[in-house]
Amino acid sequence: MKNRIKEFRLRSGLTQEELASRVGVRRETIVFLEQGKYNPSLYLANQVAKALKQEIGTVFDLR
Amino acid sequence: MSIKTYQNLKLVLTVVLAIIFSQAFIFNSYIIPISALVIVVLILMILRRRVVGVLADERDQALAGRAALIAVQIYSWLAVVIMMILYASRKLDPAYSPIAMTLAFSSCFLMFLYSLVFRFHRGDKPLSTKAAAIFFSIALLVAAGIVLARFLVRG
Repeated sequence: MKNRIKEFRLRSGLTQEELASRVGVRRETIVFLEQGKYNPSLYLANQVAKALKQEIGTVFDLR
Repeated sequence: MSIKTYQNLKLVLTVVLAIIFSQAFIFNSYIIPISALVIVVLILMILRRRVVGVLADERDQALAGRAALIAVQIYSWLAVVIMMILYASRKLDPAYSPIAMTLAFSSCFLMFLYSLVFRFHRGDKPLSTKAAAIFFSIALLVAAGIVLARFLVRG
C-alpha cells in the first residue's frame, strides 16, 4: 500500500524514532511502513495519521 | 534500559545458560540446570520491566505468527520423513524404533497444540460438556479398540 508517511513526517519535523514512540511501535516498523513493505492494521494506520495530524485517507492510499 | 541493551543481555544470558546446561549434563547434575533456568527467567522478567520503549509491536506479532506456522510445517515434514527412514531401518538397530515413535508422536502433539492455540486465538467457543463427553468417549473407544486388536493379533 502506497503512503505519504515520510512526506508528512518530515513536514512535521519528526524523526522516525519520535513517530514510532508516538504511535507505540518500534522504529523498524516505521521504516518498513515508509518503504511500503508493511501494511499496517487499521488501528496502526489511524494512530500514524493522528500522530501526523492528517486524515487516514490522506496519509494512506486506500484505493 | 534501552531495547538493545536488553537484547544483548538476553543473548549473554542464553549463552551462559547453554554453557551451564552442557556442563551440568556432563557432570550428570539435574538440579543446577533447572535452578539456573529459573534464575535466568526471573532475571529476564525483571530486566523486561526496566526496558523503556516497545519490545514488540503488531508487525513483530504478525511475523512471529507466520514464522511459527512455517516452523511447525517444516518440523512436521522433517519429523515424518526421518521417522519413516528410522522405522524402515529398525532391523539394522532396534534403537531406531523408539526414536521414530518419539518423532511421530511429538509432531502429532505439536500439530494438535498448534490447532488448539489457533482455535483459542480465533475466538472459537470451547466444547460444551456434552460434546466434550462424546469426543472423549469416541477417543477412548478407538484407543480400547486398538489395544484389543493388538491383543487379539498377538494371541
